[in-house]
Amino acid sequence: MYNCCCEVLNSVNEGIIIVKENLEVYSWNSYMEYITNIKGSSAIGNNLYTVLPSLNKNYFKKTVHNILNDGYTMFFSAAMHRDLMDTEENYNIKISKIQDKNNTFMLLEFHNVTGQMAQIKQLKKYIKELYNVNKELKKKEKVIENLAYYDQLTGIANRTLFYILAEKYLQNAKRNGSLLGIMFIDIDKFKSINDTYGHQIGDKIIIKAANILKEATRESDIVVRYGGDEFIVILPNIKDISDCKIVASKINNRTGNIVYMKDKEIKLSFSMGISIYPNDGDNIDKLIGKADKAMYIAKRNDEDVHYY
Amino acid sequence: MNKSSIRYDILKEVFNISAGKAANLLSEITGKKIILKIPDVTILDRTKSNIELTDYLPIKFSGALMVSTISFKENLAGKANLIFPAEKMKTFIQLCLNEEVYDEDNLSLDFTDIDFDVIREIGNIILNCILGETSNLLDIKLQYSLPEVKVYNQITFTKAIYEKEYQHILVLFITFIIDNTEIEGTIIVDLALQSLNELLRKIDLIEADTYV
Amino acid sequence: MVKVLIVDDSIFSQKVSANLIRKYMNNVELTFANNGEEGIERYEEIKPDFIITDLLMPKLSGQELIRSIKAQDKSAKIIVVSADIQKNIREEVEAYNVLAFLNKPLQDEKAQIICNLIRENMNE
Repeated sequence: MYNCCCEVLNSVNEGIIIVKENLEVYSWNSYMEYITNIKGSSAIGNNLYTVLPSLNKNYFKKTVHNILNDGYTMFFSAAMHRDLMDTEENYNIKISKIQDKNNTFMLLEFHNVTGQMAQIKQLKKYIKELYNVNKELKKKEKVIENLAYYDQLTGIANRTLFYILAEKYLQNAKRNGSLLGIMFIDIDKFKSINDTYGHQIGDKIIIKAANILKEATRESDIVVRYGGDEFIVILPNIKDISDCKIVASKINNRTGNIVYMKDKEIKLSFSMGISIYPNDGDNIDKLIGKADKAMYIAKRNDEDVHYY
Repeated sequence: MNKSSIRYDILKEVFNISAGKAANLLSEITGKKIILKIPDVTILDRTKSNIELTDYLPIKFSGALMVSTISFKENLAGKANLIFPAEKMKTFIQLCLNEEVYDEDNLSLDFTDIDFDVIREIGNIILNCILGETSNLLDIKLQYSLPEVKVYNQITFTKAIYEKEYQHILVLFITFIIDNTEIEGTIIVDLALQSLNELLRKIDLIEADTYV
Repeated sequence: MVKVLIVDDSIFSQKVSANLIRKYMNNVELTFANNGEEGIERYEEIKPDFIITDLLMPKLSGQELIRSIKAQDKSAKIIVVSADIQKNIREEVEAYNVLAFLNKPLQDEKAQIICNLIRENMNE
């Protein structure tokens, strides 16, 4: 019967160590030999911690003590205890007490989970990669969205976005019975500046213009690059035309409206035309048309701003 | 259970001492600061009224539950269930494994085999220490095996832990803090009437000894 | 007459400590507090020679109690009796210069240690 048991132990796919109460190794199966490269003949009769010094840890010894005294069964997962076994492969360790009438033994079972752990690690890696790919894709989507609605040079809204927003604010104004202001703005003498100093300076000026407009307008106002050197400001929530006039005066009366170059200063000034819903029209095209005309008049009269 | 009674006080203290041992062991294994508190204990009698167990589950519970169960038969008969909300367990496991906690890793609520192994170990340590120390302090011999770990939702859980033979329930609220992450759980121990009486008898013995 | 203050949120634990101390020492006057906050109040009231305290308590923890007492009296003699003696907690507490850090449950052997400590440190 004893031999049969040994045969059984040696064909099991787990490492099995049986120790006596004094921790002297009593049985050491073939799989254990394979795991540790230690032959049963070397292990048997010796102290467990001498044979496997990696087990000589405080908490392990404490647990062994508890198991022998109180009959606990203990389970050490490979993931939490990589330090317990001095091997490349990973093992879950289960330890229990075996008792018969006269003798007490402790059974240690070593279960190989290397394959599972590798698989899980691989899976986690894939998930992380997928997550990163997804993140990149979302970023690209945002870029594309930006390209469609925002002016690449200045970063402010472009013509396409303008129509969408203007329509929305117009509908709001209609619903609430409030006023909506449209300010059509262009940069004075832009063409000649561009021709004189070149496109690079021209671009710088456009950028500076957009910034000036952004700073001069209120939080709720929307600055749009309508095209070339033309800008539109949408002014929702105005009480009357004086609100627009205030913004207009802020735009042209700033002392910082200068673009500096190596040896020259270019002073920026704007011409502005204002139209108001509902007085000047009840749709966007009409409002833009009126504001544009007003701006033209302002230019002709050498005024800063004109309105009806 | 009368919260101002001596029995309650002794029971709570006994469990807290045993929780302290579990915290100590877990702290050595993980290398982290661990605090295990049992702030409240209560005894329910299923024969007296229909008890909604979900009233006793962790307060912030709203989803899946991770449950480790140990059965014991010698001297006391019953089943002990350690219950934690599954979503918090993911973070926990990463802390125990000394892994960095990334949001990306928590993309799915599925637990891997490794996760289950880790819970099996932690659940075992906590339940072992609590049941073991308690049985030591009360001088009752207990025999039990390794816990089974499963994930349940509210409905499947109530079905799973209902034991016809064990009508008395001991409920322990447990707070587990690892580093600075806190998780609240419950330990539900189903006990046979005889076992509950045995438990209370031992407590009364201690009371008699101490409160002379 | 040695004055000892016992601070613990478990009355049972207080009684166990009291019984064991009285078993190994005469001439000791015991006072009790149920949490850290009460502990400070009692301390200031009676100025005990020794304080025996738990750590995990509601309202004010043992660590905070120790800090508070040591701030008032650097040489205060404190013994910690706790359910949990894990390494980092022990180091944290011992940094406060306590007389001893013992693990619950308290039994005869540990009670004797406490009483010996009291006798040794009594008239400093």
